[in-house]
Amino acid sequence: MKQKTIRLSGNRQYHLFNGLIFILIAIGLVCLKLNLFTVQCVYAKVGITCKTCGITRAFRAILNGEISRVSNLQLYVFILLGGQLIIRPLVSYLLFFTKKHKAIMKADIFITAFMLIFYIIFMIT
Amino acid sequence: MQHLNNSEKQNTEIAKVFGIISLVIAIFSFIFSFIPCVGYYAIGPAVFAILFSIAPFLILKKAGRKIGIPLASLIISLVAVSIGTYQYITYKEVFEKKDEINESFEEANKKFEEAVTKMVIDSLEYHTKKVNDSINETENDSIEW
Repeated sequence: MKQKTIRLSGNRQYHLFNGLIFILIAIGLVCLKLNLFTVQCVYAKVGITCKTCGITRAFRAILNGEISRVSNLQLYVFILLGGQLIIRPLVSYLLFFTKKHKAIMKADIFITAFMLIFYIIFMIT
Repeated sequence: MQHLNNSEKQNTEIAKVFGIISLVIAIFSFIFSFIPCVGYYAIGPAVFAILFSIAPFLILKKAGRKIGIPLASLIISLVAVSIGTYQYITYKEVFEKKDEINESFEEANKKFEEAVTKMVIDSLEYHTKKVNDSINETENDSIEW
């Protein structure tokens, strides 16, 4: 009897990667929207406010459409994470329906790396 | 032989899946580790990602396949662990300072309480003495009378 093995080609690996990131971020945002969890800053207990203090509240405010209440950093972190909900399916769609696989992958890696570098700069400075 | 090859192939495919899962966990822990107040929580998932990526790394290397994904996962999670550890050290310093402040507050509070108690006791003793004296005086007056 011939044993069937599912091969994970480069594209399939990419689809799996995209799917996992999409699902995890979607679950996180849904939990935030439904107030299922809150993360309390440990520095707030001492009375010190850190750079990302209030980021959970800011994410909730963005999800409720109150963008004016959030800072630039909070908005950027939301775009970095929330943007993946658009980028991941889009990349998978392009990989599925076009033939320029390598170019799409390179562009995706470049854009994501660029966004991550900006995130690190925002956090460090 | 064919069966052995098939099982080896299946193992490498499973290793690839595990490699991707560990990469996703490593990326999330890397992003999380930069958050100042809760960054040290990233150490847990990053260590998990390291453990998750070692097996695929070894399996794919043995099979002579590309090891890019598990290697990337390993590097990213190691970076996340080091950043998380740095955050933990900073956090520890802040909390040690907080404990010092709390201790000095408690000491001051204790001293204040002791001073107040002493004042109350002194005042009570003074008033008791005064009352006793007046009672004695009254008793003496009544005897004389």
